[in-house]
Amino acid sequence: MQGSKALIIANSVYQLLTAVHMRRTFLCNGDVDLIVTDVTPQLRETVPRLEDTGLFDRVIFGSTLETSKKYAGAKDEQLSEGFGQIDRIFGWTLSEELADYRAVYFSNFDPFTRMLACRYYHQPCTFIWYEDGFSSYVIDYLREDRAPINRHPEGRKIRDKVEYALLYEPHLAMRGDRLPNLALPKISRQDAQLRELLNYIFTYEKPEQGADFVFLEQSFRAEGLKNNDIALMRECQQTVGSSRFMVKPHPRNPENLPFQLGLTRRYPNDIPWELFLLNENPEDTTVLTVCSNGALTGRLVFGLDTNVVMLYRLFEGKVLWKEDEILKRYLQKFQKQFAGKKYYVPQTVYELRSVLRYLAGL
Amino acid sequence: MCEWNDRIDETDQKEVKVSVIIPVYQVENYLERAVDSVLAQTLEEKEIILVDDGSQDTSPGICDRYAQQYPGLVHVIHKQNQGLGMARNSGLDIARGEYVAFLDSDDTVEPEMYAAMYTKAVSEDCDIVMCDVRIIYVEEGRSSVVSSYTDETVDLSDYIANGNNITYSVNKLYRRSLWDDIRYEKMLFEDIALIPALVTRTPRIGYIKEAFYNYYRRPNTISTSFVGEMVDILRAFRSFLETSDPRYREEVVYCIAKQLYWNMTQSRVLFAADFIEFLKEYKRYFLLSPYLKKDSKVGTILDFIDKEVIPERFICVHWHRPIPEGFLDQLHTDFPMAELVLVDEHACAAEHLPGNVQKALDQGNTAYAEEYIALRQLSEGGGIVLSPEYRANLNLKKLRLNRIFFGFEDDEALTTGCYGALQGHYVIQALLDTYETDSIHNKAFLPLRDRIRDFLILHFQLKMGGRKQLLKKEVQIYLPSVLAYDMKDGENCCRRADIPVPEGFEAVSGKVLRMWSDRILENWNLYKRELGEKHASKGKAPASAPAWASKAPPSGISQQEVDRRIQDVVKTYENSTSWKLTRPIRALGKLFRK
Repeated sequence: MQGSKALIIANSVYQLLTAVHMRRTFLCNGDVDLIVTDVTPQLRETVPRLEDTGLFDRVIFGSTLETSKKYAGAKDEQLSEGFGQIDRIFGWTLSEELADYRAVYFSNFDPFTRMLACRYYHQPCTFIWYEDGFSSYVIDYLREDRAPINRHPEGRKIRDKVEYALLYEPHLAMRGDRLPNLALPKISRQDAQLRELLNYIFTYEKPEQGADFVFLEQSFRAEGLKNNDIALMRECQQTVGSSRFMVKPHPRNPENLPFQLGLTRRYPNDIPWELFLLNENPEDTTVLTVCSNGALTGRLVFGLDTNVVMLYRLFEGKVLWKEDEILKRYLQKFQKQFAGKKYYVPQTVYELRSVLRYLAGL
Repeated sequence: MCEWNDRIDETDQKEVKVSVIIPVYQVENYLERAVDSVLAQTLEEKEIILVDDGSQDTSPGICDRYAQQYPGLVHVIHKQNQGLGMARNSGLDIARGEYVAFLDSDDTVEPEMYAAMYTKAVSEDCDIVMCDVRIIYVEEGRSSVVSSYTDETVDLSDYIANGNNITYSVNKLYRRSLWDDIRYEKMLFEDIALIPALVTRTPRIGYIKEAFYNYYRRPNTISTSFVGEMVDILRAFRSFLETSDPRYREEVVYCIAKQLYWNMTQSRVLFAADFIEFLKEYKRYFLLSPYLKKDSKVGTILDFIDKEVIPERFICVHWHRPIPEGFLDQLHTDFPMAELVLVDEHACAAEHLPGNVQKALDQGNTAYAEEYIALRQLSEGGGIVLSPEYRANLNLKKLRLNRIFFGFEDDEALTTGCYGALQGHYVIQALLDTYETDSIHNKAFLPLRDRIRDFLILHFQLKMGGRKQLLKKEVQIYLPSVLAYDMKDGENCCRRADIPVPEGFEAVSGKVLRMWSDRILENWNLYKRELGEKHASKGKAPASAPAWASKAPPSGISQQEVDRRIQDVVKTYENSTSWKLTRPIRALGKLFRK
């Protein structure tokens, strides 16, 4: 049975922003349900405000984190057990019953989404993968050697269902999975209505204090990766001066180590970076990061050309991600084909100092 | 202008068999010994021509006294200083002897020398007669005889190829008519330029196997110290090669090859790059020489033929500022044959400049544009870029054996005061390419030294810290003491000269001084540790290692690297003269401790 509705799943701020944007653009006609999940805990608070906006027919909350964690690395037997009780799992995890859909828009190939693919496998329901930052450009999530779930007969059904990927910059894709890449419309920073909507959903407040240089921390510590990000932060702080420098902590890291080490003042709020970009004047701020998606968002999503200093060439750690080489190629491609004039990738610590001194006007 | 104060007219009729020409220059302590050795000759029919080459000491007076004391026998010419060869030429101009000979004013001859050689010349109708040479090493108190040839009958081909003393002017007696059309050139090594070629053109050569000539070898003479003019030796070799009788070319080439070998490996290693350029110039002769094919030792010079050397071409870019006093003088003194490329602001008018260089120029940042132009000049012709604020010295010649070189300014920065490369070197070309990219160096008009540093770190794994390193067997990096500051360790090739300091002082940056003293302390500690380990391995109680020695190596330095440095330091200490000299004292000390 074919549904007339569409369903969007959002696991993160970035995905929710895109979900709202999709709803207001090419999904503006017809009914659309939205699932926001506890993969990002703060999203729970957005549910009532999302409902207030009336953007979506239904806003369903999904406690999918535990399920996804449990089955993401599970072996065959456990997977079979999980995929054998899809309806029960949906019953536990979702705040409302699902309907029949003509299309499901999702960003992550997590077990929950794969279960949805099984649920609608025999129905004329299209699965459409939408962008979740640069990993969507780089990682072939369904490659069989990545995880047992990709080889499991139920777990791999999503491969048959997914039809294409929606990316803000489809020509940058280099996953090698032969999935067609189609364009997501860019978000206009001039779109006042969208900004108001998102500000309401995320209860955006103008930050009391900012900094000329903001270092976007990543979740390396949460993932147990030994690395030199603290040393890089220190280098940046010492070059531009502590009064002009701040570290935006990553919410998944267990403690705010840069703050405890005296590398930064306390970052004033936990406003999503994308909302900051949408509301404030990011031209005055230089983003520093090893390789955070947030640093690329401005360019990818909003088409902004602001100062971004990517430190991945100076990163010392075991490996950044499994697809390290592809990631490097992606970043090179991004730099050469897409990045603006204000995008810097210093290759030595001395070059980093030169870049920072230049941007700081020192 | 010259004058001679003799009464030649009175003695015109007297037969002169041998004229002995003695150039005199600043030799008041040796002159009398030399003249007396000629006066003591058993040959009666002789004349002595003293050519005072503008001496400033008491030598002119000594000459005049001899002329007064021996009228008709001793003649004196006083002239302006022009060098040894020109002084000999002046002597030749007035010589009346059937034969002529030359004596250096600090050497002596044995009493029977000219009689024996003249007799030989006349009896065998020789144009040249030669003898052996006794070398007296003054400081060492020893002497040795260098035999000119194996047999008293001279086979000219074999003599040119395998004989000795061929280049000396002084161990030979010459028929005066040989000099009708030839004279010495004004240069160092005038002997080499003239005499051996003359020998090849003179088939009638006699030889007396006696060491009649005493050559006194002292330190700090022209043959034992280095000056820039020594590149004249190549002019001399060139003259030898090109004015020799072509029938003896193979022998001449071999004769020169032996001299090159000796110069390149022993006596004038500093000039190795110049010798290599000479080898290349006459590559066809050296590669085809049958003598070199048979002589595996001297034949090793052929290995250098394909070695590229940085041309002696100095690039100095000076926009809107004059070249400081002394800059060119020093270059001319130490590198008289060098090509100088002086680029001022007018030279850039017709140049196409990359956008960022033009922009820098428009904003008045001439230093940025100067650095670019220097780099481009270097790429186009190779050579050495020398900033007007720096002074190069003769030692810089050694660095021409690199393919490309840079030096540290201190532990954190490279210097662009002096650096060099082969023509069209790919690193220099790649650096030029970076001016066309969208990089921070171009946006912020960063100094060239930052560009070079980042490039070398990225592509050649340059390690900062001010240490000497050869990167990928291609790029040589030197200590700050080599190209930036003179630390008086004998290694300096170029130093900053824009900081005025009193005579006898050196300007050295605080960073370099700190680095230098740390390095000395570190080396000493490394040595003590190694010594301790040696003792321990011999079953003795280990010497107490310094506290730092138990620490892990500094970050970024492998244990292998630390071990290698230790070995370097140990070698340096143990090969030093002071360490060798004090060995008996240390041994005695140990004995007492026991």
